[in-house]
Amino acid sequence: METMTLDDLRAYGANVDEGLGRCMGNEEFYLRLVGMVKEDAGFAALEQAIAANDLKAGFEAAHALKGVLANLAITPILEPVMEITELLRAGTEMDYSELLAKILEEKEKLCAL
Amino acid sequence: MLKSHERFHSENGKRLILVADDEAINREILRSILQDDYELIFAENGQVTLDKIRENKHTLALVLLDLMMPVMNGMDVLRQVKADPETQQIPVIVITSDQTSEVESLNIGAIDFIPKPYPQAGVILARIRRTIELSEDRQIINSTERDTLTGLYNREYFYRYAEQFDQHHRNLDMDAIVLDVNHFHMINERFGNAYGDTVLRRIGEAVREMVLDTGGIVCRREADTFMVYCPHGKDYNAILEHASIGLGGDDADENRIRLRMGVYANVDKSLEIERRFDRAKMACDMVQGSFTRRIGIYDDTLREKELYAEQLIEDFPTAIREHQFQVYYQPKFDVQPDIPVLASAEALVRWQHPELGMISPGVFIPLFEDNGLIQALDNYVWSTAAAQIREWKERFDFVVPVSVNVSRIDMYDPHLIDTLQGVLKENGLTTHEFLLEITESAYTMDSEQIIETVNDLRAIGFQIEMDDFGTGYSSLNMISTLPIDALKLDMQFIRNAFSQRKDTKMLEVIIDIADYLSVPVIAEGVETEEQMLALRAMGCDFVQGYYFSRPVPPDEYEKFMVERKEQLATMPLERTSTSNYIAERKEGSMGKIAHALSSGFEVVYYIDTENNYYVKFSSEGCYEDLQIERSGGDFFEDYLHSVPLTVYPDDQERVALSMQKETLLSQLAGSHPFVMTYRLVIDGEPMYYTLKAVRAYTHDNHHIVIGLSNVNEQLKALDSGEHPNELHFSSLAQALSHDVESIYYIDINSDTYMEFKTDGAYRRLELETTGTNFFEECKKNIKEVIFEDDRNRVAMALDKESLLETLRERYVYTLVYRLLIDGEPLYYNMKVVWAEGPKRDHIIIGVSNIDAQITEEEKAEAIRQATVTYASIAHALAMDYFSIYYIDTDNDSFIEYSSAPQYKKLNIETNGDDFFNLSRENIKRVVHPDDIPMFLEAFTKEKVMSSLERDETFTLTYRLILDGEPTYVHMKATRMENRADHHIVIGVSNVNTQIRREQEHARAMRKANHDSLTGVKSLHAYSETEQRINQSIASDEQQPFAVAVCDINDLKRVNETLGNRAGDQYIKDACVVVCNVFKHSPVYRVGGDEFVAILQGNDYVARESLMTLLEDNNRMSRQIGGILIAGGLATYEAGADESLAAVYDRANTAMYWNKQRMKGL
Repeated sequence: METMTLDDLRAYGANVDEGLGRCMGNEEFYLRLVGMVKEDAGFAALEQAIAANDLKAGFEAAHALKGVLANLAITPILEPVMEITELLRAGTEMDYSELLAKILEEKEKLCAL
Repeated sequence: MLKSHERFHSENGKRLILVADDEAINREILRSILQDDYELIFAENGQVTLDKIRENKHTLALVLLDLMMPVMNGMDVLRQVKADPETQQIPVIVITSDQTSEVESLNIGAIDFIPKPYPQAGVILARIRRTIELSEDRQIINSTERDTLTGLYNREYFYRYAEQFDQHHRNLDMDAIVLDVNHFHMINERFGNAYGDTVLRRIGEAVREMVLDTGGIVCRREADTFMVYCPHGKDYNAILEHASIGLGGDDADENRIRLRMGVYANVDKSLEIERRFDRAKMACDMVQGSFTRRIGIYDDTLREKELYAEQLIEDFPTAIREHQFQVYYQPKFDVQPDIPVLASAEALVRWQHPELGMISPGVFIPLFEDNGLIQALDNYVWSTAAAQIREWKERFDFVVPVSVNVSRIDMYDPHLIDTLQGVLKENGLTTHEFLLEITESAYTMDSEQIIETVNDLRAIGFQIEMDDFGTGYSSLNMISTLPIDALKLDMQFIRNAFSQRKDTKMLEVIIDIADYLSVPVIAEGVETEEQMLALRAMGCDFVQGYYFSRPVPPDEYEKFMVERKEQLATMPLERTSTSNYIAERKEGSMGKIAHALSSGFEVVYYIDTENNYYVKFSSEGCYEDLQIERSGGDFFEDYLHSVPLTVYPDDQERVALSMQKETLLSQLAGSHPFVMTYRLVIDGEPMYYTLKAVRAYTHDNHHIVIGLSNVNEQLKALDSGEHPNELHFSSLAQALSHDVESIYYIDINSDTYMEFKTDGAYRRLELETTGTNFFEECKKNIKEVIFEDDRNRVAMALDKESLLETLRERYVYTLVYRLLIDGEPLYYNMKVVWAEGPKRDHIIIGVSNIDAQITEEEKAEAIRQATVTYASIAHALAMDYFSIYYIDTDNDSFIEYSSAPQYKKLNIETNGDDFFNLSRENIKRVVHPDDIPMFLEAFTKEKVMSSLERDETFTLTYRLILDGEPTYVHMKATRMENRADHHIVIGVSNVNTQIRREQEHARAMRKANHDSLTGVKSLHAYSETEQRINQSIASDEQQPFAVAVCDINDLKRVNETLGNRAGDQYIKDACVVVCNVFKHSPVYRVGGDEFVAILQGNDYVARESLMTLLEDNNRMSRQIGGILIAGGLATYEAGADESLAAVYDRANTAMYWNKQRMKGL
């Protein structure tokens, strides 16, 4: 498998410099953490909660994802995650599938890097 | 091995932070930001967070808490933490992206917050650092967990942390280790408490540094005991080695401070933590006193011992109830009489155990001492022994006293005195029949309290023997400062002294000192006749041991009593009666003292100037047979008190001033004796005496010997010889008239008188007036000439009858009063003496103006001049001369006055002409060939005379051949006081012993002061320098200086990998480097791999550049793989630093930092 590079991430839309800053400028470490995002169980948890229409669990999952994505500055996923977090926090009854699809789509793009 | 993040924060200097976040990535980011500066532990949900906070409540410096977490919400965690008094002091920073929660969390007690996404790393670190600082500052106020001296945990906290550590590492095998300093009391005693503290701090640092590498926690348990709790499987030798870093040299230096160590390996965690360390301590105590084993391991043997001990403790109450304990008696004999005589016995306890048989007291006594049962046992023995004494007393009709042991713990019992008195009363005994033995170690543990108790006991008559002297922390000072009635030398001490490498020196010294303090000495454990005889010869008074008898049951002991009773019937021996236990005293140190003063003295004082104790010997006319006349606690005070009663009035002031302690010691600062001639009043007559003071030993400077010899006859002989009476009379008259303004010569039968006045130059006395009724005229004059306040006194003093009565009693009478001169009161001194002559019909009154001398300085000057007046005679008489020549320098004729028998063999003329040439001729026969050229060069009349002109004295030291042996002699020439007198006195004295001793001393000093490996100054030299510098610091005279500490890196590795020989070479090479850097300063080797340079003068000014030079050297060395030397510098701060040690400590710390930095490079 080809290894992901910082340039890949930049091209993908992540704010690499910001994320790198939080990792003490350690590129390898940053890339490793981004790699961990790809495996993050939070996505599956969010998906399940939405499917079960469990807004509270959904919020918790989204909130947790938000923190991680913000720290690593993975903007393409962070933006829809922030949106869904606020909606879930407010307990908004609505159809989340489109937003969820957007999140998973961006995640897939990340996984492809 | 512990993983780094599991280490305790406090031992590696890093604070411990708990990071609570459910997201692994967030934890990882925080880990990467924080791990360099902090120790981290992690929690992934709220419950775990709470658990970990509780577990680590003593060590956590901070909690970083994510508010959104599964299982338990962060906010709930925060509430619980802040509600629990045990955890509420731990600062919590919340992490959240949710601004509304921020306020809420701060209200609950969070100290700060960090937003998500995280700010830049620097911001996070700064906030954390600030938070920790603030909260620690706050906590410092009530922090009690650390020992202030070493900064290590104290015992209680240590145990709690250790327990907590176990909770956290249930499956980790652990070791309990105890470290102890051998003879720490001795270190404090010898070098002072400040040095002792430094030693403890160094050990503390070393142990802390050690667990830095290995993991674990350490504490100072008490005084000199350290505890380490660390993962099992360390190299114990390495641990001991590491802990000993900085404690002194590698060579077998007796001053070296040694640690011992006890290990309870792979502890049983079901045991209480305290018990685990008790076991380690037990193992540690096992190697106490062993020279070869320094590490004790708790093993099966000790385990059995422990079980055995438990059984004994369990059986104790039954044993007391069933009288299983039996009291045996071991006799003590007075060995000073030709036939040793039973003096007393010691009551000793035995345990006849129904199952275990006879148990040695060596087993159960220490055990009962530890747990306090000894008190009950002591009481049992006291009652049993007292009842036994009574029974004997009734049956034999006389008493041999018995001593019983009083344990340390008894000494703290407020009822001790009541108990003991009760025992005596019950059995009708006195304190003279029931003696007490108190172990020496009791005295050292808590001196003040113990001494108070001992004083109380003695006050009601108990006699106290200090038991076990020589085992633990014995110091000679103890004997002189502690209240005791007898000193018991420990059995082991005696055995060592008489072991194969028989070394009884120490024994002799102790007996000598006890002797001169009039404390009887009892030797225990004496097994052979040889030992007994040797001890008796040394002056030991009493002997106890198998030589006489082992401890025996009462019925067996009775045979000694029967024997004693028979002796008593035939020859009653005063001294063995108990009441004169402190017996009249005997020989002892006589040999040494007699030796120190080779000529005969009538009176000799032996003085310890550290405590002013002294012994007075007097010969009563027979020089060979000095007897102790008395001893006392303060020589100088006693002596000064005696001056007005014994010294001739004219000489009193001079004597009193010369015999001030400081004055005398400064006179003796060199190796020269101090000599003074003055008059004592003996049977109403003034007699010339010479006082000679010398240092008793070359190896210590606090014993002096003062001898007094009667030189009256010699003086007369000198006067009445070839050379006329003028010498005698003129010198006396001069001395008398020196400061006298008028002299009255009164016939007490007729009251007629003559008045002499001195001329202005005080040279000659002129007859002024004569009169007919001296006393009447005085009375009339008093009103006119005496100052008002003094009139009554003078009138009373000049009452004829009472004056004569006083004179008959005291020979002299003096009175200080004020005369009115031109209306001003001036001080005058009046001296009244009998005029010479058998009939006592004239008195002489001298009046002198002492007003001008009233200031101390002027007094001193007068004394100095008076001393000079007597110097020539005194020197000639007192210096142990072989021979004194009296030479007329006008015609070089001479007389030899006296000669030692040995010197007579040289066939030197006893009188003759041409002294100088004759001497130059003679010496070719008698002087050592090597010294002849020097002698001929130096000893010409011209040179002698010009030296006398210039320096008042001429001296020459050379070797004579006496009995075929080269012998050092000292020639000294002095002129007569009267310059018009063309005589000189030359004395030749034997200084061989002194010079040889000095040479030997100098050699020994050189050896002691130089490190044998490197040749630089030794630790011994350093401690001398330290003393000197401390003194000048104390007197504010210390010039600026700096201390450079240099430590060789890697010596241990070299020793280990290349062997000690390579290690030695390594040290030598390093030493060359150090010496090259500090070329102009003294360099000391103070430890195996540590050197110290003391920089003064130019080196002080250049100190920084010298350190740079050392650095440069290291840089170059690093490139070529050479020796690296870590240096540290500190400068003496006048006014702030109280000792060299303070400066050294800073330099040493600087060096340690440097060393750490170098390791990082």
